[in-house]
Amino acid sequence: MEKEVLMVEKAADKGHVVLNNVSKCFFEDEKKILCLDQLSIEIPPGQLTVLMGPSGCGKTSMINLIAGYETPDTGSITIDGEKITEPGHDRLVVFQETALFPWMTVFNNVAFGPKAKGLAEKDIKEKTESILETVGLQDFQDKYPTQLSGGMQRRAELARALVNEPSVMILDEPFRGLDAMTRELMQEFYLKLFDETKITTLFVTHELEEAIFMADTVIILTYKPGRVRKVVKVPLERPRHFSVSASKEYMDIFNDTIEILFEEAKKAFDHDDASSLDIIQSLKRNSDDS
Amino acid sequence: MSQTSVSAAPPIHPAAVAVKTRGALYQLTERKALPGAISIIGFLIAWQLSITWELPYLSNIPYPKDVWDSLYESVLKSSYWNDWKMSLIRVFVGFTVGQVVGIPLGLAMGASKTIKALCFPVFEMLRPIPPIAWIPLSILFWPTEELSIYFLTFIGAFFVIVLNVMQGVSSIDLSVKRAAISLGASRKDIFFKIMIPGSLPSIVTGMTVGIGVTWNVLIAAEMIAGHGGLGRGTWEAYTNGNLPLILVGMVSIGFAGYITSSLVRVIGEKAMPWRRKF
Repeated sequence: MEKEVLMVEKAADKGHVVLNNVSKCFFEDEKKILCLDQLSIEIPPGQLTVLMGPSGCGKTSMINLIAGYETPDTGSITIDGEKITEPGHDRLVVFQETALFPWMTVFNNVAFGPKAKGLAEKDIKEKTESILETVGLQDFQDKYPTQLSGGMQRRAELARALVNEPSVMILDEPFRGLDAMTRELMQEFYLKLFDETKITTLFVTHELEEAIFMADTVIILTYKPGRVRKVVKVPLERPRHFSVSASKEYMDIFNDTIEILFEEAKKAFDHDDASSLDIIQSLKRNSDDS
Repeated sequence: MSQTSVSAAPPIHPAAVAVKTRGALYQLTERKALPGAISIIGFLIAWQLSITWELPYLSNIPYPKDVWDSLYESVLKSSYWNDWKMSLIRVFVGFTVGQVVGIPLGLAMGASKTIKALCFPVFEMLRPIPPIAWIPLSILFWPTEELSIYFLTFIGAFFVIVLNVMQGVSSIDLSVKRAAISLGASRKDIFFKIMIPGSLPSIVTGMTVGIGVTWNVLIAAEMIAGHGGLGRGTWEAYTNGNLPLILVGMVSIGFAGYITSSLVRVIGEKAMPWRRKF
């Protein structure tokens, strides 16, 4: 509990990420493809920003740039005013597929960051155990990742990042592949965590419902090359409950957004990008529901 | 209190118990032991019959009973066990040196593009040469017979393990490596905490395959160049025209290979507790 309070103070004013005129190309079959086109985006501190767009809009590239795994061709990215040049534990990514170390127990996975920083043995144990309790995995700390369910793996991964008190959490479709029930529980779980800590979050998803339910701001990118298509503010009150999706405000935002998303997904589809089906399917499901 | 809790427990249905007992028995008898016994007994019968019926080309094979008698005789002789000892030592030395040299080289080639660029061309030039083709050169090159056999078994294990370790290092998920870097891992951490455990499954595969190749090479080398050893024993049985003893040699070699590869597998499972089936 004490730790969470600590994080509220630290997190709320940290993690201001600014992308300024960022362009990035990559090569595919010797062909140069423009992936991000003079992208300028601001991720405000203490807020939950959701990134949406069809496959091929450069979401993953953007994450790799912010995380420091790649460098932009032009433009710059800063965090709290400092230029990003390499990976660091102030920006931690929770990957789409699990990236837990399969050969380490849950405890050792979570303790990896504190150990790498060279903290004292006692502090490592204390920090790790406290964060495992926060995510409800204290009884599973000696298990290996393969012994955990999908939802537990995601929570272990969140814990492994959170224990380092990062300025920004970057979640790349973190709940993809989970069943519908676990997915909703995880959304609720992360929102609760966010409400308590106000940790700056960049959240990538394909699901519009998930996006609106979680976000302060939804940023929609265009299909190849990635540019900002629209920035949607979500002024729904926090803490949020699932019943919010029945409110008029929610429906208004939903209807404003779905058309634009559909257009971009359609562009991807017309380019024969098979993966665009992902988003079209999830949009279709959403509009059937409503 | 305890009375109520006892009576509150649902009565165990007799049928459920029956199913459970049958399940355990079924596993033991019908699932594994019975088909296994049928398979082996069937093979022995086919062996026996093919000789009694004088099937073409098969009638010169000794009867199972003769082989059994010959095996019984052999295990009472110290020379038989000396052959075992010599072969096992040769396999152990060549195999171990192969791992000690091969695993670090594989890790280095998997981790560093520069080292790979420098070493891989020569490696790929020598690798396609079957280990047995090294026998003549090895005999000429090394001062003693024993050393040349060690070298040959080393060759048998070396190329397999290097290739597997290298492939194992490069198969580690990019996001796993990136996660470690983001979490502040040093180069040393990456090597010892990510690359080595991450390539361990491939190392164990390489060792399991390698021990098999090592036995192959050893037997050929012993038949051509060796004094003593299971391969030599089998060859001598051939030159003496002792057919049952040839088969005893073959069975012994097969058994020795089985024991050593089981040992490697057990060690591998011990080294990778996260891979146990839960």
